Amino acid sequence: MAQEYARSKEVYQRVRCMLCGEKLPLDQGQKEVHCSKCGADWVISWINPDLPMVLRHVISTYKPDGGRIF
Amino acid sequence: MSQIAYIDLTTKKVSTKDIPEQIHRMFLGGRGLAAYLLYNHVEKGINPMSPQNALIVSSGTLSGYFATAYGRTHITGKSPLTGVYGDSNIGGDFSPELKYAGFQHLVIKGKADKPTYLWIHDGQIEIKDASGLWGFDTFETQSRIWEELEDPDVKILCIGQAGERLVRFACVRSWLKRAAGRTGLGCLMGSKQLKAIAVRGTKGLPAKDPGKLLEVSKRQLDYGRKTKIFQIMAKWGLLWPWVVNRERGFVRSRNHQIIGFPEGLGTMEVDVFLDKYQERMFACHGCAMHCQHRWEIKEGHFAGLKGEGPEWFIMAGLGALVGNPYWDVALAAEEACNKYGLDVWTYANNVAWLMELWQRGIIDSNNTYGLNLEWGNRETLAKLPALIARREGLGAIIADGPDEAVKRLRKPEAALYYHRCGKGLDLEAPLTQQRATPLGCLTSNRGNDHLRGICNMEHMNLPPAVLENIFGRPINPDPLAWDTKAWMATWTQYLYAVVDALGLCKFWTKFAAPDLWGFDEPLEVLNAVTGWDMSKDELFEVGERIWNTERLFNAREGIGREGDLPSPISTVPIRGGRLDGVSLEPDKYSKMLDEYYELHGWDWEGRPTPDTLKRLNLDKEPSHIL
Repeated sequence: MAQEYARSKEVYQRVRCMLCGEKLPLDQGQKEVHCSKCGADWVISWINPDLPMVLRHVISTYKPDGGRIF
Repeated sequence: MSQIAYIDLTTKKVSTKDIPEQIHRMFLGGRGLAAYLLYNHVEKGINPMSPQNALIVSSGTLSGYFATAYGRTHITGKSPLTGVYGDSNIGGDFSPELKYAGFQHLVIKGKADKPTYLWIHDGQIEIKDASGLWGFDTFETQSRIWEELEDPDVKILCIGQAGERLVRFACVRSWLKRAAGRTGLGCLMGSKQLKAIAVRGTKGLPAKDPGKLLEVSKRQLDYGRKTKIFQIMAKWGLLWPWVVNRERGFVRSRNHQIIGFPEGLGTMEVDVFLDKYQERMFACHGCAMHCQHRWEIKEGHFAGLKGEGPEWFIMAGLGALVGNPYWDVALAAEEACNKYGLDVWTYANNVAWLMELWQRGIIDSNNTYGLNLEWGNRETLAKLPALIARREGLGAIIADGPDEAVKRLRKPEAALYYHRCGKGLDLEAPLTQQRATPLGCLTSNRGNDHLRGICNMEHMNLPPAVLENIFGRPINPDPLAWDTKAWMATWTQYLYAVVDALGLCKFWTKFAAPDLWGFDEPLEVLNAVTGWDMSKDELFEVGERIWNTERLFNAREGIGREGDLPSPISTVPIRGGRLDGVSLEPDKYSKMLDEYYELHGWDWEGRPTPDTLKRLNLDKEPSHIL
């Protein structure tokens, strides 16, 4: 069951918001994504054409102190 | 059949024994039989640095066979760093070669009268003079042995200057960065004046059912290559956990004072390493994942420096923990630790601790022999490994661990800021944001350790049905829930014990991803190799037996419940991040610990009961059969 789950579209072709866990669907090759639930912005890296991964915050919108993230 | 070799460095006597199938099946090889051997060969209460301590080098049961990623070597002994059970696991290619030379385990006792190395080849063991190697670093030592033996295919474990000078957190090394890092086993090797172990084997390793082994291995490899984690690991190596751990609050900066590492954003990043420093990827023996990097620094103060690694904890330890946002100095410090033979984690924890003492004004340049210990100080980070290995200046103060350092600094209050667990090992996995993970790590027999008990699936947002399918019981998917987590930790610990006994890399298991190996996949390979027809329940019980044998060793040393508790400072709620204020509440942790002990069949002190020992056929140990 774990294998089927990990292979499903639930896991591929989207990332989860690293802060709130919201599922964030992506278009192929999309470079950044905004989480509508918590407001975080993420830089996306594509391991291969079907496999996106969050790389880091978008630096220009990152608020380490007192903002929406911290 | 592989053998156990017993080597006494004092008398220079070598003997061998076959491994009875019954005992092999009860413990498997690697970490399993190593636990049995340590319990049988090391008496209660001995000084870890004495000749009576044993250094046990073990190859996994499946190491060397035609199956993916079974190349891990396990090294075991009473720890010079903590004084309790010590073991560490190292990748590379030593383990299969030891099997090809005819041995699965080496039990090394005594102390040589001069620097020595072991030369093991096709059933022969020679004790050779290493006087000409003493004083060289781990890279040079391996090169010189290859030259001396005129064979670049010789596989080597060795120590650097840190091990020679008995630094308590010295480690055993291979290649440029492979390390049996934790618990100071390089110090144990140095205490025996054993500089290196070199091995070359050309013997065959017949499987009971080669056709089945080939079919199973191919099927599992084909499956594994298609998994998400395989594809990420093959490109990012072991840097990917940085992204996940940083955002989930498992990365701490400035000696665990702050969650996250905001000042490293944009510099201490995975893509910065890949773009600027990585040269290529490579793999351990028989692994298709090739998750290891070779790197080179091309410009700046450290230009020309080359090395292997890094893994995410270089970013976490030599980056965040010490307040350093720059890759070049983290790589330089890593390379120095590799060269001199120091455990990078303990090094990072010690430096972070000293930097917090500096921040708080507890120490100043009068205590540090002039070294500046402001957060992220580049010169200090790069220079200190050499000073520790040579026991010079500040290096001499911390070379024997934090307790001695507190005495030498004459600052008793400094002890309050050192993060470690009840068994004495410095903190590795953060303890506050999860439940099964701190339980699994803190109850580890070598001390708080992610490689013994981290439950990564706790924070993967997996559906309850998937969790139940994996763990065989309902698991609460909330990472902060306390219920059901004792079973999650127990199951995980037994899996890791079996994995280490077989010689398998944990990155091919549920350590890394829910769709990689649990008990079923290694069991298929094991049965094809041995012809045993072992059941999953029996394999699970092997894991339980290994865990209990290690426990017995610690119980005999007087370690009880206090050994499974964290230091008070490590449970303090930390500010910041989405889990602001969450802590490992002592009363709830204690209740979870009770449940965990009950699941294992242990008493309130965490010691195996007579009934448990009888059920696991451990009631006659130490039996001294092997």
